[in-house]
Amino acid sequence: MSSALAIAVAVLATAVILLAVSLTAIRVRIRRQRRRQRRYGPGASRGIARYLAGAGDPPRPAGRVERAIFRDVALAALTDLRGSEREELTALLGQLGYFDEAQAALTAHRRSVRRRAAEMLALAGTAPLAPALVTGLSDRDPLVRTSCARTLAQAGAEDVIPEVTATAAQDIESAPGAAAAVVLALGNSHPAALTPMLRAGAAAPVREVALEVAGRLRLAELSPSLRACLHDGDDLAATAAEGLGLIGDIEAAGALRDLASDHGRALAARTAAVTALGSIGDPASVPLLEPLLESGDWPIRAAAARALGKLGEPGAAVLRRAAWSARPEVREQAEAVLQP
Amino acid sequence: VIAYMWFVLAYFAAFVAVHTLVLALAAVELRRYVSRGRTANLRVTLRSPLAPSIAVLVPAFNEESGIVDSVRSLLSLDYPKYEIIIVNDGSTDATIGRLIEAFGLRPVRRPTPPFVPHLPVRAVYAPRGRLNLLLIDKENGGKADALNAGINFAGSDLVCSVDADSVMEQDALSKTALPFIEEPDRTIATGGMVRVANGCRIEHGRVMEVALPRSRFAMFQVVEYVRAFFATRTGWTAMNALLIVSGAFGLFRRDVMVAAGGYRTGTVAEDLEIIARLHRICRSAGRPYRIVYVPDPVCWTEAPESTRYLRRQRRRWQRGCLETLFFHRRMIFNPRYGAVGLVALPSMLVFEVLGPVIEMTGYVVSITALALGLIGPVTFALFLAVSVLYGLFITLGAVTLEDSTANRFPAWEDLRRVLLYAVGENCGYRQMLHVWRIEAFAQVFRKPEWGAMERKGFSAPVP
Repeated sequence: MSSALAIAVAVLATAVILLAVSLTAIRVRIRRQRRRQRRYGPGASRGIARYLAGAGDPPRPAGRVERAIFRDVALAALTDLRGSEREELTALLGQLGYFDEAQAALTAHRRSVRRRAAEMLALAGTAPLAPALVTGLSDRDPLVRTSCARTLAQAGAEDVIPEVTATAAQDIESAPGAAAAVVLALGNSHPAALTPMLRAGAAAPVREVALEVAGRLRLAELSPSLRACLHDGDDLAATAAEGLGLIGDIEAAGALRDLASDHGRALAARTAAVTALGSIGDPASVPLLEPLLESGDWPIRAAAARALGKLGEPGAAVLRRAAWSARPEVREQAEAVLQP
Repeated sequence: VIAYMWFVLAYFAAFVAVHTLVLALAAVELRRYVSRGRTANLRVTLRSPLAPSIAVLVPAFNEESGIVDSVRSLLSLDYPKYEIIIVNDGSTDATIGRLIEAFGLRPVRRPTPPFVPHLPVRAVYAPRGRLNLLLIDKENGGKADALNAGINFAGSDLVCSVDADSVMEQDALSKTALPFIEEPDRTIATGGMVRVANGCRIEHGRVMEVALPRSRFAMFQVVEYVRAFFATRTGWTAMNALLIVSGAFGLFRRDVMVAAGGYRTGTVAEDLEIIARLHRICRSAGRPYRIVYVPDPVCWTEAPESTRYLRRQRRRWQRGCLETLFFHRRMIFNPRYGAVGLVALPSMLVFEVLGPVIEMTGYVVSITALALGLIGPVTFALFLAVSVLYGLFITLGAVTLEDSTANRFPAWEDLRRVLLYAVGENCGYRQMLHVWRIEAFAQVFRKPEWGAMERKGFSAPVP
């Protein structure tokens, strides 16, 4: 037993010493980084501020460390800046050769280097970088691909929209959040690019994200595509109904009424349709919504009461009648909406 | 006696194997987290209309001293779409009055949704202005019951459970929500880091200055928390076998919580039980899912500094482990539940529940063996050295991981104190905790004792 324990003590003591050395090395490195940050960071911030205010020459960071700190400070500033100041700082970074470095780094072997480069180009988001970003679309790493795709979408590079769309579709399974960001960028810059994603032939996850983006961004030009999705599966129909409600598409009211009254559909889809009818504000929906106040399903009942509350006097009249209902669950929903 | 010592040694070898594996996985997972965390794709979505809405649920029972500051602090969180739902769980003090006065609340008619069961709601209050705040006053039913009421009233995609006496950092909600944006369909729950607030300067619900506590007990808990969160939870996340998302700070998909029936009442560890249940439900249904510990969003909590409250807390935690293992006993060693059934739950059973018994009897047996001359003093000393060195190894590993990601205590003096306490905990503190945890076995059939403690409070006096 003693020999087994002695071996264990020796192994553990070695491991503890190794860890202590690593910990010391990490701490020394962090302290050195912080010291450098304190040394060069404020100067970089001041230089950028003076340059953007037109009160000084363009900053010229020299040396690897100073350049790296200047890059980090500038990128942090880019996330906050808008308009001409953003353009000026982007141009300055270009003049200082940072984008050339990032474009070259997009072909690096290490994934982390490529990701950082893609992030840098994404923050810059300017059209002249498009060729490098298109190269990035065929990267092995989904995060690099989607960063490049999002930047291309934001930069308004219309000729590569099909490639950007294809990247979003390709990565929707492996990196769903990053792919959704690409679709979001497309929705902001090229809403029409979402149309093929909304068609019945597109993969369900892509359609789901495109529907959500179209609705949340209130892209009225995509309403016909959203209306077509009301006849799809329950999940897609619910998202489409929610989007049509946010858009306020009066032409969808008929299809939404059909969905709301279809007892064969899932509760979530019917509830979304009822909510959308209220958001659209079509008084013709009142006769459909009135019986739904007595539905046995709480979400339908609550959604119907809230929808009626948005339909002006005809809806309010129904709610006032419901406030005298013999059924307490109907009464409480109506009273909650009617209270000032 | 010697056979038992061999048994203890075998137990220790298994302990070392599992915890070293978990530590190694934690290192890999943290590296992955840091690498993926840089991507702006997700941060862009977080600031967009696609960001999931969150309801922050604050169960409050007799929290009159700090509730207003806590809510003010929560109102300043950096997240685009969130509401705060305070659930007054039948407080007998002035909790309700303080909230009504501070935020200009008025009673409103609001039907109680029936999605998950809880005790009756007495009244609902909402602000006159545009604050995203709701106060639910309900009959006393415990924390789980209060959280269930909050889940019912939440109209959001996600619900976040926080303790009324905790302080969340401003960006904590955003960071904890990122996995839901990264993988919206698969992610069902996330939890952030809980740190010991004792020693920190906190004003009006905000951490102004981070410092280590002066109290010895609080320092020991700093070491425990760093080890538990960095070396353990991160590692279990890598295996998708995380068994606890702290009740002080956890984010859940609301539809999943409703489908699971909400928190289980009548247990002292509703946070542990719900995670085990979510694993069981998802794995039984063959549904792809993940439960994630996110290492850098921080929630600060006040740790007990007296033996009385610490003992109560630890007995409660141990009882919670026992209850959860009993409720989900069919998952243990069941290959159907993957790493949860084959590694995480058995580890909890062997190392958390039976561990204190094995370790304490190990001390007794080895001292007896020494006294009877069955082992020599060298063997005895080596036995103790192994135990101390391994504890130090895990703590050093955890601190190394903490340093490479968060580095909240950068001073060398802080590191020296943490390591000193990591060694020192073997000289009485650890054994004391084991005794309390063994006491919990006797408590299982009694009425649960809740860990309410006399809080010093965070708020500094207004100058």
